[in-house]
Amino acid sequence: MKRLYINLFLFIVPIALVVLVIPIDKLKVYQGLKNDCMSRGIWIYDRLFENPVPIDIAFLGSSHTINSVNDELIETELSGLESVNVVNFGYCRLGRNLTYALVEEIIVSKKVNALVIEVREDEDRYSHPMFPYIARGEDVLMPVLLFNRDIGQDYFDHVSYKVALIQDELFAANHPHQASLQNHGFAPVPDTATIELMNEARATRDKSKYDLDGIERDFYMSFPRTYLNKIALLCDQHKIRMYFLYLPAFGWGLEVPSEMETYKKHGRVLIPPMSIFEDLDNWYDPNHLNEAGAEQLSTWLASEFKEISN
Amino acid sequence: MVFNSAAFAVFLFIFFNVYWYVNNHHSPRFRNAITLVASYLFYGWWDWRFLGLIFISSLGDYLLGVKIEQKEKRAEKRVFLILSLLINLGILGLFKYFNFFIDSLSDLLTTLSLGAAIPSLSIILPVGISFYTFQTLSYTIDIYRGKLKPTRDPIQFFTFVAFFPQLVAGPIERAKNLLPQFEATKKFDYAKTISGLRLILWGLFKKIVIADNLGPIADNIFGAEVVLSSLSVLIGSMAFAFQIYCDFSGYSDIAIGISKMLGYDLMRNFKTPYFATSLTNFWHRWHISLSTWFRDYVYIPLGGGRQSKSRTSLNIIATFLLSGLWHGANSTFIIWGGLHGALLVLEKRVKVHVNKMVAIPLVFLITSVLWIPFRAEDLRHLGELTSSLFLNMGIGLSWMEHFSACHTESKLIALAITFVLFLLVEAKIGTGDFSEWIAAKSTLWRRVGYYFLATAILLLGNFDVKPYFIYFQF
Repeated sequence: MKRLYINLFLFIVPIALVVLVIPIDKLKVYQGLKNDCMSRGIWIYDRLFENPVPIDIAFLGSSHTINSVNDELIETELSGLESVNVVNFGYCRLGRNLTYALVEEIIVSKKVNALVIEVREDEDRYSHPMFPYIARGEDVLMPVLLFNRDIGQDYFDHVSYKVALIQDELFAANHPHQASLQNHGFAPVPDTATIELMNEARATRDKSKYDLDGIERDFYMSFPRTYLNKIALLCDQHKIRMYFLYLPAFGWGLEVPSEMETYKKHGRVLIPPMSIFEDLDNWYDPNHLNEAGAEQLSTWLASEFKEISN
Repeated sequence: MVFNSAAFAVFLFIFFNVYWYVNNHHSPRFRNAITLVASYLFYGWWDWRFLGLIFISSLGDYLLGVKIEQKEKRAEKRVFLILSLLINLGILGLFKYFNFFIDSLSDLLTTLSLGAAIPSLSIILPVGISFYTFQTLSYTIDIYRGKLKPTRDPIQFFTFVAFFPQLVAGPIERAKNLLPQFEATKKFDYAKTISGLRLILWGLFKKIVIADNLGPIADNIFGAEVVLSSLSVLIGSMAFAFQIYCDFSGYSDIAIGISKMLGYDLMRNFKTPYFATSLTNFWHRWHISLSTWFRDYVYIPLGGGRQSKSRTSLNIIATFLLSGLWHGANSTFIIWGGLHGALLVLEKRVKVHVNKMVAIPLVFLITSVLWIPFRAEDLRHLGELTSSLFLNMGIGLSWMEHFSACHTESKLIALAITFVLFLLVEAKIGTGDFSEWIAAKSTLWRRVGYYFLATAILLLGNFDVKPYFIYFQF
C-alpha cells in the first residue's frame, strides 16, 4: 500500500505543480467570475488594474457593504480642496480570507490611504467560496490551517478553476476586453422590506450562536483572526490606516461586535448610530440596507472621516 | 455519485483504505458488510428511495434462490423461479415500462377513436434498475438450471447485487463469477491495483476527453431545428457512435478498474467494437455482458441456432427486439434492436467474404447509421432524421458548422490529433485491454502514456457537462 501511495504521489505531484505554476492572465481570472455576485469580479479587476483613477479609501465587505456604503456620496462629502477617491469593493457573502486576498490585490495595484473593513455581529468562521478563485496560488495552497474546515474544497476549487483557465487560455477565442471605467461600486436598492418580514427576522434571530467564550471562541475564531492579523501586517507594511465598520443585520440587538477587542488591536472601529439599523424603513431585507438606509449610513461615515481627518 | 465527480474520488479514497484495513483485520463477511454499506451509500446518493427497491429485489431473490434449491421437484422449483421472474420483471415493468405501455395503448385507442387517453403515472426511473435486475435474474435462473448453488449468506448476496463499481451500469455479472469472489480471503495485490488504476485512467480519458467532447457535436446535430443534410446526419451518427462507445466503455473500464483495486475480477464488457469485421463480430465485442445474457437466457432457451433457418432468424430478431426494449421504453429502441436483428439475419444468410480493410469501415458505417434510431427522441424525430439522411443529399460544408458551434478551431485541431491517437491505441489493443497493452511497454513508454492521458484529461477534458453517463438512463 505504501508503495502505491508513493508512486501515486510521484505521478500526481509533477502534474499538480505544472498546473499551479503556469501563469494565468489576471483578467481571465476575474472574467471567469462573470456569473457571480452581479459580475462584480470583473468590475473589481477594471477598477484596480484598468481604471487609472486613484483610490484613497477602499471599503471591503459583503453584500451588506455593497448595498450600504454609498462610496460616491462619501467621496463628494469628503472632497474639498483635494479630491478624495472612495471605492466600495464589497463582494457577496462572508469569509475573511477573501478580504485578505482583495487587500493584496488593492495593495499591488493602487496606493491606498485607508481600508475600511466590514464587521458583523461576529466573525464568519469559514472560507469565502470565491477565495480559491480570486486568491493567489500560494495563499490557497498555504492557507490558515486552524480552524479551516474548507481546505479540501478550496484546493479542489482552485485547481479546477486553474485547469479551466488554462483550457481557456489555450483554446478559447480571444475577445477584446472592454474595461468599465465606473469608479464606484455601491449598488443601491430602493425597495423597503415589509414589516412582517422584518418582525419575523427579529423573532427568529438566535443570539446564542454568538455566545462563544474563552477557548471555544479562540479556537473557532482563529481562522478569521489570523486573516485579520495578516491584513493588519500588510497595512502596516504599506502605511495604510485600517478601520472597521460595524454593519449588523437587522434584529440582533448587539450594539458592538463580539470580536470588538480583536478589531481594536488593529484599528478604529466605526460604530454607526443604532437608530439607522433600528428604523424599519432603512432595510430592503433583514440583512441589507436599502437606498435610504445607505444614504443615512454614508452621510454618517463621511462625517466620521471628516472628524478623523481633522 | 458519478465516477467522474470529486465526491466519488473522495468516496473511493476513503473506502479503498477502510476496505483493505477491514480485509486485513477482519473476516471476509465483515469486509462484505462494509462493501454493502458503501454500495448502499453510493446508490442512495442519487435518491435514498431507490434503496428500498434494491433491498426488496435482493431479499426476494435471496429467499427464492434458497427455496428453488430446497425443492426437489422440477415443477416446484419452477413455481419459485416464476415468482422471482414476476418480482424482478414486475418491478422493472412498473418503473421502466408501465408508462410506455399505457401511453402506447392510449395512443392506439385515441387513433382508433375507441376511448379517451389513459393517464400515466409519475414514476422516477431508478438508476441502474435494468442492470441489477438482470444480474439477480441470472442468479435464480442459474440455480433453477442447477448450474449454481445459492448462497446462504445474505450479506454476501446483497453485496453481490449492490456492488457499487458495477451497480448502475454494469458489467452485468453472473453470480457464478462474482459471488465466489465475495467469499474468498483477499490480499492486497500491488500489480492488480496498478492494473486497475490504468483502466480507470483510460476510462476517464475516453469519457471526459472523447465522449464529453463529441457529445455536444452529436447533440448539436440531433437537436438541430433546421433540415439537416445527409452528411450532417451521418456525421452526427458517427459522433454519437464514438460518444456512446467512449461513454459506456469508459464507465465499464472504470468499474473494472475499481473492482481490480478491491481485488475483484469483472468480465470484459467491450473489445474495441468499432474494429469489428462483421455485425456478428460487433455483438461479440459490444456490451458483452448484456449480449451474453440475452444469448444465455433468451436466445438459447428460444432454441438458438439449432433449429430451422427461419426459426433461428426469428429467435435472433426476437432477442434483439427484447434487447432494444431493455435499453428503454421507447419505440425507437425497439426499432434499433429490430434493425440489428434483421441485419444479423441477413448477414448470416448472405455470407460474403470481404477484406478486413473494407469490412471494418463498412461495419462501422452500418452500426453508426443504426445509432440514429437509438439517439432519436421519438418516431417523429426518427422520421425527420431518416428522410434527411436518404433524401437530402446536399453536398456542402454546412456540416462543419456543427463542429465550430461546439468547439474553437484550436480545440478541434487538438481533439482531432488526440482522437487519431486514441484510434491507433484502440487498433493496437485489439481484443485485449488497455492495461495489458500498456503493461507490455517499456517503463518510459508507459510513463509517456500515463502523462499523455492525464494531460489530455486536464487540457481537453470537457468539465462543463454535468457528470453523467448515457447508460444510467437504462
